[in-house]
Amino acid sequence: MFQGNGNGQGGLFARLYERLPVGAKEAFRILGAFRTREGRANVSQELREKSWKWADDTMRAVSAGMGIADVRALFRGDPPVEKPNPRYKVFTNAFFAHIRPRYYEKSSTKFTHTFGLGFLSAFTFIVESITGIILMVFYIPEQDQAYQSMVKIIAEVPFGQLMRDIHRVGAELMVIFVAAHMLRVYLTGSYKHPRQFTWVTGMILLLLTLLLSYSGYLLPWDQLAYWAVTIGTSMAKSAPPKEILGYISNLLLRGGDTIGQNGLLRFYLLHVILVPFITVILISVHYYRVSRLHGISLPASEEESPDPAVRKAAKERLDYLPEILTKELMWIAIGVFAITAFSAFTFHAPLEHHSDPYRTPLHTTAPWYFLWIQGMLKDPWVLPILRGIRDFIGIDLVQFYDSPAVQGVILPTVVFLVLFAVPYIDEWWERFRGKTSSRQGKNRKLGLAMGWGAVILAVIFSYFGTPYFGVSAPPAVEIGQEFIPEECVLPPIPLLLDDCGEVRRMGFEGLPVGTYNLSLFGSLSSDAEEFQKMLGRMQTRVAKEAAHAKDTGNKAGLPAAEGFFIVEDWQKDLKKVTLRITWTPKDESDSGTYEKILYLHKDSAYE
Amino acid sequence: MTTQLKIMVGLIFTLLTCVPLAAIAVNDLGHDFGIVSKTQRTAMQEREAALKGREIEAGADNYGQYCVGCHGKQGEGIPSVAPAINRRDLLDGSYQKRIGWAGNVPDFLRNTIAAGRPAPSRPDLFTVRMPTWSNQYGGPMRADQVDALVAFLLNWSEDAPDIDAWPPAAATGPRPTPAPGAAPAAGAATAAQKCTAMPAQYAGKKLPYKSDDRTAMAQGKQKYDEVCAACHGTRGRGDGTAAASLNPKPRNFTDKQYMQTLPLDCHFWITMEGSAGTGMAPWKSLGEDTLWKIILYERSFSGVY
Repeated sequence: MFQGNGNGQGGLFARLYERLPVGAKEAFRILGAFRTREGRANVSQELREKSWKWADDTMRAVSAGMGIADVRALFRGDPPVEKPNPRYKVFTNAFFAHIRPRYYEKSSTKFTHTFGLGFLSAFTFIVESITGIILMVFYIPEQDQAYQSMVKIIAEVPFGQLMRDIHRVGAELMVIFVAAHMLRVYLTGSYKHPRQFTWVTGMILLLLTLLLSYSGYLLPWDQLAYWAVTIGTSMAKSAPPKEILGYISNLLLRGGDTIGQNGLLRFYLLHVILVPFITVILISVHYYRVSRLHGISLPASEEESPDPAVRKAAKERLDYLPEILTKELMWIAIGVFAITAFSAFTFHAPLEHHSDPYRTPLHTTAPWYFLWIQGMLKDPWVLPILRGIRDFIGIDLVQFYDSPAVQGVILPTVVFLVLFAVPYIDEWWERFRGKTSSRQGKNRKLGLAMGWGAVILAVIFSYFGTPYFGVSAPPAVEIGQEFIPEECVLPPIPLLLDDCGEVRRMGFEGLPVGTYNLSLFGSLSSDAEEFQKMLGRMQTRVAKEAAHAKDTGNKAGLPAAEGFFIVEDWQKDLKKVTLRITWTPKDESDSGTYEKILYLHKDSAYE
Repeated sequence: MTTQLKIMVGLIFTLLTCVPLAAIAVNDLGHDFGIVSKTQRTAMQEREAALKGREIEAGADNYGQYCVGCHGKQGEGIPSVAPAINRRDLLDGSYQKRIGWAGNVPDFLRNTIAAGRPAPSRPDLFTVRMPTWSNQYGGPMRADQVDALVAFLLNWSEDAPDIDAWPPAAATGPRPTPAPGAAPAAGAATAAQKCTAMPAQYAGKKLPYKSDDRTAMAQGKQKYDEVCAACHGTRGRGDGTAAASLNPKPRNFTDKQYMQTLPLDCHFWITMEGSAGTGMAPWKSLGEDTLWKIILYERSFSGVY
């Protein structure tokens, strides 16, 4: 607006104007333009262009190479709008895209080939990390406060129970997914050359997953936690040579002779720092080998097809952007929904009584994924076979085998070592047979049979590891445990709810005060009340033991057993429940009576 | 699946995730949001109550294990052993106020249980000293067990009876110490010396029950467990929970040699009148018949009738 003025007195303004900074000149120019309609239109047009460029640049920076138009096209599923294709630029510029492949080979993404198990394993690991960090805010790794902080998380922290439930569900799922992933890789022969070492890193990840889950087991500091970990570390204690390795590993893990404050802190640090740290590194190595080095394996039938057209079609490119990315985001959304809904409506992580070193629960078991090891300690097959070998052939392995060191430490170690070596054993075997390597099922019937055989054995041995097999407390104690277990019993199958026993399920209101002679409830009409039916079931169990005693001439069972069920009002909203079983003592050491006492509060809500 | 369909499905599930989250929000924050009326419990409060209930259950269990012996089945106390603790003034804070305790009731109970008392507070009323219970002070209980026990005791609050467990100390002062010579040496090998002081009306008293009378024995056991086991132990070994703080130690009924020197009439007399110079209180108030049943049971530990 000043340029137009002449040289006279305007000269001063012109000189002043010359001295103004560029930005101020620009501001005057825009203000000047506002005088006309055309000028205003120009300014607005200019502004729009500038903002667009700014936004586009920002998008290019964030997406590492793609402009707004291209991102829009990407998510609409349209082809790229710019040339050269900016979507590939992302993979050289961006860190997170850098670790993903540019494209997948089409057949390797078939759901029935991989079942997405590697993806799901990684997904659960991230879920665990997020919920774990939230739980860390409220958890105190101190033996007098740990349990109290669990109570606080459940009862006082908004969304606290949800976080804990998701963390628990995710942990179980992670073990399931990782194990299933291993099985899948074995069955499709994907561990074969050139992916042999990838299998080894995967095996390390399997061990780390088990260690993560197991080290987290101790942290709630309840009876379940304390005794499951006591069992596990006592296995480490018997590692040979017991006086050196066993002693040291026990001392390192427990931080003392038994698990106390030191042990809790050690497991906490293992769980939240050391193992996750190593796991992240190993996941990186594992994933780098999968994504960058060899890619996901193709289905064997297509890779080894005699028809070149099939082989070519299998390798057709499927771009990561946007095909795989949107697919992954979709599955993440579905996964988050599934795990949240399941934790909110169905599953609640159990919290047993505070840990008590002086009260061993009746049937302690390892977590379900270690039940097979516990099963090896009491399987009914190997020892008789070894005894037979000793008696008929003369090679005595019985003494060697019959020790916790061999069954609890050496054998599991051998199992894992064999698993580690699978690709190399496989290669050696193929060379020994003089066959060309093939991943197809029809060419590796022995391998498949061994794989499924191992799965079946693992299931059978896990069954041997459960309390349903080969463990028996005195019969009266078993009856007590059946109806009034000390703790709510976790089923050996993951993600099912725990069972608190019939009496607790009956609830405070469902247990009328009185003394009940069970023999009066032996035969009930079908319209009897639920409570009476329960007494009837107790009587059936007691009568069974009495009959068993009769049959065996009082050697087993409970001779002339009688049961009483007593419910007393004990305090406000508190009832004392006693299950008393009396029988004729079998010998001097037999007291002839057994009592199981339960205090049941109105609010305690066992379901 | 086309890209747009995948994005759509992803969005739908993201929105669906809000359903469980909203349900949890109502459960956990219903009061804060004003969705659940203040008179109703939210699910989180129900969980809190459930955990509190389970703590009370654990406390009841501990009470049955450690406290019943001296304070009685329902906290009603046992005469001469330990005071009632289900009484109103202890649980509503008036007792604490009277003795000048500035803290709250749970802390008073917690500290009393954890650290016990250095000496019997009222030797004229109760002979037994409250032992230390927390493992912090060498007792058997963990901190959480003491807490659970406190929760159990406080659950009596609402229907605790008004009992005056602490009448003013008797004018005669503390329990009279017996004259020298009359007191038997602790753990004396025979009871003969003690029994010489037995009044004539007790001489020659005999068990009104046969030694194999199981009904009387069972009744005797029930009463024994209630009032005697605190000091004499559930198995008659003289090792009850309260025994640690007693000197001389409670009699060991399984000691055959000693029991042979203790005739039934003398046993009955001591049970009726108490034993001077020891923690043994007179139990006349229970009635002769009950005492005979108890004696029948006590004798069964050694088998000497």
